[in-house]
Amino acid sequence: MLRYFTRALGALITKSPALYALTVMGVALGVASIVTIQLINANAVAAFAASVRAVTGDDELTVVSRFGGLDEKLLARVLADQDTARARPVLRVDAVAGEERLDIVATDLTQPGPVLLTPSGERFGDALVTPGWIALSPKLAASLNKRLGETFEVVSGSTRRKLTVGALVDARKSLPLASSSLAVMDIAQAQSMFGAAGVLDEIAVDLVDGADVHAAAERITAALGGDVAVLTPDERAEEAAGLLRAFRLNLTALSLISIAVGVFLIHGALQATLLRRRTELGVLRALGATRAQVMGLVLGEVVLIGVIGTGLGVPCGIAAARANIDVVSGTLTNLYLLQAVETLEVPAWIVAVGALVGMGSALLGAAVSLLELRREDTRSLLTVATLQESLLALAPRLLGASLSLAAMTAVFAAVARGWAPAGFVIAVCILVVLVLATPWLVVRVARWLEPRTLGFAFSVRTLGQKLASNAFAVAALAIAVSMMFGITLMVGSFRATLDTWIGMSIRADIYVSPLTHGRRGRAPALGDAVLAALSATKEARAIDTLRYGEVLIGGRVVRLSAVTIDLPGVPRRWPLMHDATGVLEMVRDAQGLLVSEPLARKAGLTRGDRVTVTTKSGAHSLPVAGIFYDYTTEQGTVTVDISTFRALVGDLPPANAALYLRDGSDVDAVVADLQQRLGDATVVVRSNARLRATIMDIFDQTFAITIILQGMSFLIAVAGITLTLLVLARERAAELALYRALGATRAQVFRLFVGQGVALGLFGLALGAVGGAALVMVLILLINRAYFGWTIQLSLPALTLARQAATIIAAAVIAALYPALLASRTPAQELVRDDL
Amino acid sequence: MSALIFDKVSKRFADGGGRLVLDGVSVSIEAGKRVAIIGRSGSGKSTLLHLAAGIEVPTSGAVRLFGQSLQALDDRARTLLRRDTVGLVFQFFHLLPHLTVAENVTLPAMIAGHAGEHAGRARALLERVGLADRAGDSAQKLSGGEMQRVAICRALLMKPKLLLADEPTGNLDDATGRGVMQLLLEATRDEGATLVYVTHSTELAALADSRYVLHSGVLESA
Repeated sequence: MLRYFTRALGALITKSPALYALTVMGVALGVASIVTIQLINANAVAAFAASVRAVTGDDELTVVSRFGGLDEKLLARVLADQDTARARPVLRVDAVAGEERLDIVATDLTQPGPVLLTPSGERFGDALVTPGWIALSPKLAASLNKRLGETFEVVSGSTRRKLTVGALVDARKSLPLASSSLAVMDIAQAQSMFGAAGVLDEIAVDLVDGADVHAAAERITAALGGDVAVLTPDERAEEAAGLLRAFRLNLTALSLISIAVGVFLIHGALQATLLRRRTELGVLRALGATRAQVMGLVLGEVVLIGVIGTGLGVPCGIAAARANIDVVSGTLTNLYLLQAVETLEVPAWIVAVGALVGMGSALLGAAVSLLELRREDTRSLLTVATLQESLLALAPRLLGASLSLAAMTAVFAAVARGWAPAGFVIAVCILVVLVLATPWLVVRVARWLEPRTLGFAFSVRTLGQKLASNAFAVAALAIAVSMMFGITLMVGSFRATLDTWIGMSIRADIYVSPLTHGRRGRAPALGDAVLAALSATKEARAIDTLRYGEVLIGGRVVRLSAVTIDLPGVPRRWPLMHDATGVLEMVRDAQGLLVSEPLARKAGLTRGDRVTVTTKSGAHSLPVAGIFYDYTTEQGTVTVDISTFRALVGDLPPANAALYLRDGSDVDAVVADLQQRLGDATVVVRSNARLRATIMDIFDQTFAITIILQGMSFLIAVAGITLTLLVLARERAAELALYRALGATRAQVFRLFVGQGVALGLFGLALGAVGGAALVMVLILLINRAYFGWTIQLSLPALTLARQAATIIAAAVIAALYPALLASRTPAQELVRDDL
Repeated sequence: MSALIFDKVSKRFADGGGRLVLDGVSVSIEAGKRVAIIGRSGSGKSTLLHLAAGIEVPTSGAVRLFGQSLQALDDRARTLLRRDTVGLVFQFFHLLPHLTVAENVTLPAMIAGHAGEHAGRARALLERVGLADRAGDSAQKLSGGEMQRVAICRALLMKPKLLLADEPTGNLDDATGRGVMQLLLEATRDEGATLVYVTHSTELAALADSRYVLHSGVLESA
């Protein structure tokens, strides 16, 4: 039987190489898409973990502030714990040097570690005495074009400092995923140079041998007070994973759609192959092959498709991840302030997941065919296939199932309100509803059309006959198009919403902000020199400033922003979710909070509620004055009047400034003038238009990977069209020969097939438009609100959708060309058997 | 006037070791005549009809259809000549299951791009063969005899000058076969067309104006 298997497989591949290649491609692309996404996500979390480990090493615990920085006096209390062997203070400083970003880790270099420095095994005695001593990675030093002993300038917040390259250490030797932007300084020098005297970000704790880690964590937490967290390295990695949860979940869901499309493709291909080989299998059974042997034969072929698909898909996925790592890494850095992902490691479990997906999708795609084969007796295998007829008969029942499922989904949507994953369940149901309705729709339209020529209507009519092949191709395309339209509508709507929001929120003419983001609770300040320069701008009619702090609301660390409500010349209009009456007065006079929508949704806050706001000075009960649309962060933010801010977190300096210019001022000229006057000041000066463009660039970058996934799924669906038409060209050889015998020219047969490609495209487009419209509602109303907390106003990016529709039809035409060419070459002599 | 002339026509297929299927066949068939060709399986009957329809071209010799040399034409020209001049009836009917009875009859007109003009003729032909009431049915629902009658209507739709029938009763029982053959003969007479049909049956061959026997690629008058 093995010999027969290899011979039969050889014949299958040599007879229909394109068909076989397309089937394998379906598996490979599905595997590639899941591997790409999982690989990028896993490496983002691993990069964070590696960078944490580069600093904390094997220390069991890290003390971090829940909000704001740590007072260095806490170090003594940590050292006082009975199980503490060593406690190392850590200060983190974000800085830039030219185009390069530096994650400066400042610590006590008189103690052993951190890991970042240990590979060299050196002690850095001169680290404390050389002004601005810093250890860089060789890669960073090379990027800065600096050697040992040379100096360079860095900017952090409003501070510009000169540092000296004191050592070159490569943490990647022991931690390959650690960021090359990590650099190490002595903590005393860093505190003094970067205005963080007495402040720490972390305390890395090494416990004595045999200590109970969790008991020690509890004791230290109790000793330090409520606003610190004591975390194990794993818990810190989990924090990063938690930050990425929504991001990961959405991308994983998208890659699963690619796999679903691939499963349909495999099913279609296998169904067609089995249909053609029914007689062959019947003969084998008649000659004494057992059912298990025949099943084994087919199963072997399916497994081989899975193996080859996986073998191709995994490297393709790795290559795609490598090609897109910069884009995704940029998103993670921009949105979640995580470490950049610079190198890609391929953990074995991802290869295993790829293999599982490849084999699983191949077997799932083959499941129906295999089950059917199991049921068939020898006699029915030897007769002409009746699958087409059975699917024709089933079409109304499938439509009934589709409508029932649609009704159940609607009920579920109403019942499951508030359950976050409900959106994904509903999205899957929508796709299944579409798939079930496909055969009926194809048959209905095919029968409704009355062809008068061998033209397009005739093409559609013939599609209705070979339903077993065509319905799957249409269903696969419908899923891909649903996804494409759904995401396009969502992204387009989100973009339009963001644009409107920017229009309401970004109203000043010029914005001035520091070069670096700053760490938790230590927003970089603009500095007196910068503020003085801004005040001296004669074109400015008003200067608004923004201060940042951190508070704890309902267990969440929330950014606190402060503005001066009554600032002459500055219009105060927030994009509120409700009537604005009395809101500003409450913010100004009654310490009211303006709460961002994501926070309001996640913490269940409504206007008028009283909220406990915890700061370093204690707990404060404040009223929610209003809730406003906000798209800056999914973590949530609260805005208060400057007087409330000072009462809560003290008098912190401005972190951003906005200039309102007098009418008729030349904004670009003022920007240029400011840049010149600020000279080497450490700020970015942007016009309103420039800032808007920057925000939109970040938005587009965020969705770049989504577009790639869309493309993969679409590619699989288009391959499905080619595959289906190739199958049709073979299955319908006798019918095509009849057309030729009755006087149809090759060009007519060619057009007939291209027409079928277009018809498949149109069916997919029509169903996909319905699916896309339903999906976008789920994405906007359920998934986005549940996972990100954003309201997105639906808008119709008509031009983009029209372009995509044209692309789908064009792709369908292109996909049909090769099968059409083969079909047009069918000679009339093929008409020798009764196989129409 | 000759409807169809075979002049020393030989046909050798490239596959099967260059098998010679027709060997120097010469025959001239007058317009309006009904001609039967008798032969066993594999004697080259279908190849002869394919050559007559311009589906195949001879390896040597010449085929002339109403004075037009077929081998002088390219594939497209032969196809169009076949579409406008020749009607074909097959042993296995070859009706399209996804089309109705009426649509199957009008298929050649659809191919020619003017099905609308032939709708009335299609109805009349179905009326003639007693299947007018089945016009809207799927072709799959017909019996074998009914299918062949629909196939004859399809062959006659474009008023072909030559009707080629390849064992038109070969897939029918005797009684049905006789009825179909009678219909074919009457219809071609009424339409003024020439009929060439291939059959195993000497009884059915006897209904023709003239008969030929094809044996091992050689055609002889019976």
